[in-house]
Amino acid sequence: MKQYINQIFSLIFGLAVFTFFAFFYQYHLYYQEQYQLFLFTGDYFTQMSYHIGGLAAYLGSFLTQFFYYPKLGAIIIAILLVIIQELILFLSTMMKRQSYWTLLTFIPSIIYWNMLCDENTMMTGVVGLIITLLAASFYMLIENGWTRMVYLIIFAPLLFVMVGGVYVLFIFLSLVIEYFYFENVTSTSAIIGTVGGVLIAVFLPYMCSFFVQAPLNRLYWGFDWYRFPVVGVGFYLYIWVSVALIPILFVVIPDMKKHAFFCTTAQFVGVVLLIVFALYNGYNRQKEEIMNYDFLIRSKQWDKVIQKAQKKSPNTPMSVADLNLALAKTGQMSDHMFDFFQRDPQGLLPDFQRDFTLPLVTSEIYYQLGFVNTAQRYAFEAMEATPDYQKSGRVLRRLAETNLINGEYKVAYKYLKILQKSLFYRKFANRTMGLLWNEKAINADPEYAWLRKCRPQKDFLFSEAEKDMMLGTLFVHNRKNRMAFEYLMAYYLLTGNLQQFAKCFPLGKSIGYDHVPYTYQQALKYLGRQMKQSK
Amino acid sequence: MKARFYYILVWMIAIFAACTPQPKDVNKVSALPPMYPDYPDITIPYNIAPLNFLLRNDADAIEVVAQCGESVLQVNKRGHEICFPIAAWKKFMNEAKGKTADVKVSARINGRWVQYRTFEWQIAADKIDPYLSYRLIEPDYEVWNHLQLIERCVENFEEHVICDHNLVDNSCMNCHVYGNQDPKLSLFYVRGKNGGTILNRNGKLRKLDIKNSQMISAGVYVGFHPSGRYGVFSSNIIIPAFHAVDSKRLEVYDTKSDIFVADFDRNTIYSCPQLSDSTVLETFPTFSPDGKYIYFCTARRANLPKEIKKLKYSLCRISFNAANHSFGTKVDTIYNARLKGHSVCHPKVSPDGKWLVYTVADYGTFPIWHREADLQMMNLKTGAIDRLATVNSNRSDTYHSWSSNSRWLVFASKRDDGLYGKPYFCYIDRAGKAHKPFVLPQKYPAFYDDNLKSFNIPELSKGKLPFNAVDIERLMKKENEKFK
Repeated sequence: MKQYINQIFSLIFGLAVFTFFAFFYQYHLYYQEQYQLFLFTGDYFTQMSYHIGGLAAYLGSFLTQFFYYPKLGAIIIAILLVIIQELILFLSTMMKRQSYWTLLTFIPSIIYWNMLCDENTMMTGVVGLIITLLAASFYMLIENGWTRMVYLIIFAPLLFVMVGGVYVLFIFLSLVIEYFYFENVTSTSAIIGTVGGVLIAVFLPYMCSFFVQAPLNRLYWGFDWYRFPVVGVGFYLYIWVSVALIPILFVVIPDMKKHAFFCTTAQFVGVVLLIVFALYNGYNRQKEEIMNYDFLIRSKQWDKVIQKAQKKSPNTPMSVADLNLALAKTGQMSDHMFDFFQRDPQGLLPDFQRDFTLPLVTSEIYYQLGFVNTAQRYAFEAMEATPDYQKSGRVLRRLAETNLINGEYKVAYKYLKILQKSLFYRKFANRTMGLLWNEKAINADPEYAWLRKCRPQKDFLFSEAEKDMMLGTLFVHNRKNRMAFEYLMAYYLLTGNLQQFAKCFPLGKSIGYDHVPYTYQQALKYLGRQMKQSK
Repeated sequence: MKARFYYILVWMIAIFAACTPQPKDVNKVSALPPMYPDYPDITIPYNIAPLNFLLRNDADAIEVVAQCGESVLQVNKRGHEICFPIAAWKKFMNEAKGKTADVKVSARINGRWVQYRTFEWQIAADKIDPYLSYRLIEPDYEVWNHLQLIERCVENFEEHVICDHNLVDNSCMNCHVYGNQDPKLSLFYVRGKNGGTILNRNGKLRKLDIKNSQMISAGVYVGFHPSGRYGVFSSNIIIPAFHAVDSKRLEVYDTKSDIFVADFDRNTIYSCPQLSDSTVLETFPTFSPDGKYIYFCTARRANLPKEIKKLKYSLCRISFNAANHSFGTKVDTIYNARLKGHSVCHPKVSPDGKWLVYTVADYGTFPIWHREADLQMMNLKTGAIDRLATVNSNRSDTYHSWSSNSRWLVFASKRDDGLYGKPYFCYIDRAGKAHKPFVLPQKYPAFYDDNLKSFNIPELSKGKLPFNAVDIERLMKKENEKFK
């Protein structure tokens, strides 16, 4: 039992990570997946791995595609964080075999766990760190000092190309191993290795900046660890310093053999407290809620959206917009819209923002309404605004659909061909490919056929300030478009324009309500009362 | 030992050759091969890169035989793609210069060989300028990302980055234009906080702030004076708008625009009332090759966006005296939009001064998003207009540029799918006859299928630019030179 204690701790840690991501943070994983599209093509590999740190980015993207199934994603994250811990454990215990400080090796993985709670932390960093630790572990296995020196000097630049700035950790760990594990302080090979390693660490990114089109600071720190190109150096330093310090601590801290129980207990408590702190600090319940709404909308689970809102009414524009869409899609908007918290028209049709999240939600609403071109524009802009410039499987799917509906088959074909090269969008692409240039098949598809009937036929220029005009035009074009009518009426109610509401109310006849919707009754009664008072 | 090595080598070559599929029991068909890009029956310059292509069918082996007299270029490949060996291609093209080659394509489909109708490649002895610059951008609406200016050698597949989004803080950058197709005279804009007009003159880079108090915006469309000392610019207030119906995507129009001339020696801006009339929109300026005229487009201001379809630009010109930087007083109308019913954009005079090519659209000032946008060519001596029927497609064809010998045009066309613009080259022979255009060849024939970027404002140049993206990154850190 005692000999397996480290493995048991690793197992428990892995299970904890899995449980967290699989059951408490699963929508963050969905969110991650939708902002990238891993393709099984040589071209994608070349494109990804052509820049510094590209191999780590490629493998990170490969792993992220499995977040399409969050439980699978949670397993992957758990395994990777355990691998990081095990590699640090290997390096540290090799330094000092009889150490009672093994639980310290969990610290970098816990820090990374905290970082992965941020939806913009990419898997590139996790993969890059593992490759670096593997390279350092291999250094430890080389017996001959000259071979180690050659390995260090040749492999460090290669590692830089593969994983980016984290290669300095490899150089640092190699030198720590050289001096503390091999205790090779004065040999020529160690001196050459040290000087060479330091020179490579300091100057390689700088030299590269003359040949590679990338900012110098990113060459030093790394690419694709975070979705946004600009991130504080603390993001890297927390991880790098913790990984570098643990093996040194193993050498420096006394063994505490006499107080082994106390030592292990103290570490255990410390590690648990650190996990609690990491999750308290990292866990973002509100974002998880918003992502949950978005997922339900994306997968057209309208009833679940409403059930969720009945438990706790959403209060952010994004989630209120999701709820209103679900209400409209289930025919409940006109009766039950005001059963829930309503902000303003932003919770109905949010204004455009140069952002990669909100336009995606708004695109769903415009799509369901029948504003196919606007849905296409919002989806396209969302993908274009993605800070790391990844293509989005979700957006490409939507663009294929909008182009299919608009009869732009060649463009739809292009997107579908790309999606066919992915793992989880292939099925959709293969099915949709059969609809191209096949009017009969498209018109037999309930969704596409309906949207074709709804989309505007008379051209006008989109105007954010005249959403009511656009909704009116859409409804007049197809008077069976109940959603357009209810959005128009909801727009007037939310803007307090009851005169227009009353004016447009009779248009609803064509929809064939079996009763005057509850919300409309209230509004009309209020308006009637006001008119009486004014008389 | 050496003999044994050669013996093995010969055997290996023989085995390899035996494995290369050769047509047998060929069934001849009258159809052209379903090839992409569309390369049958085109005129190409002898110095163009190999026209690699693919067949859009289930071919698992292809043979291509191009023959011109005694010269033969034959390639046999497995799969449905053909990539010509560059050395063999160059040799063949040099031998066939000024002649016509017959191209025979055979393909094995489901185990049976099919030989398609033979087509022709007319190999023009007129060289195309070897370098092409363009901006790579997604066909976006308002948001841009990951922009790059690229210089590509059209004689092979080499390309290098002139300006990279990574190095300019992801700022917007506008297209790169040459003066006299000279690599030592060019210009582009980088927008944003540290942005400016990047001028490459005699190989020296400068960052300019070409704006004074009278101008409504910084420069937008630009053309060089042949001396290189002056540039003619438009300053525009540009508004994007979005269409609701399926076939239309984006509309971009100006609410104000003027034209001015900048002197790069004295850092001074000159204008005249004829080019900065507040009741009129003036844009798309370009100098004539002798520098004596400025050609530009002009339209009466309309109530926009309501009257967008009434916004039609005429093509005009005004004289310019470089010696004292003065403008003429008379404006000549070359193409009257009111009479012709179309709107003119992007006029460009051929370097020999004989031809004027421009884009016509139903209305407006942004033909790249107008599927009806076509190129037209005017004979400047006779005024006769060629509608370039062999050149235009049913999608947007615009943003053209001439080669230095006036024999080649390059333009951006959305003919393939209606969305992604690609550079097409077109031969204009000595009689002024335009030949069927062809797309910029790529190393991998499937490149355009997977590519999600448009090629904006392709411009030809006689040589390689003397700077790269790292030079621009350094330049961006410097202060802008002010103009008065």
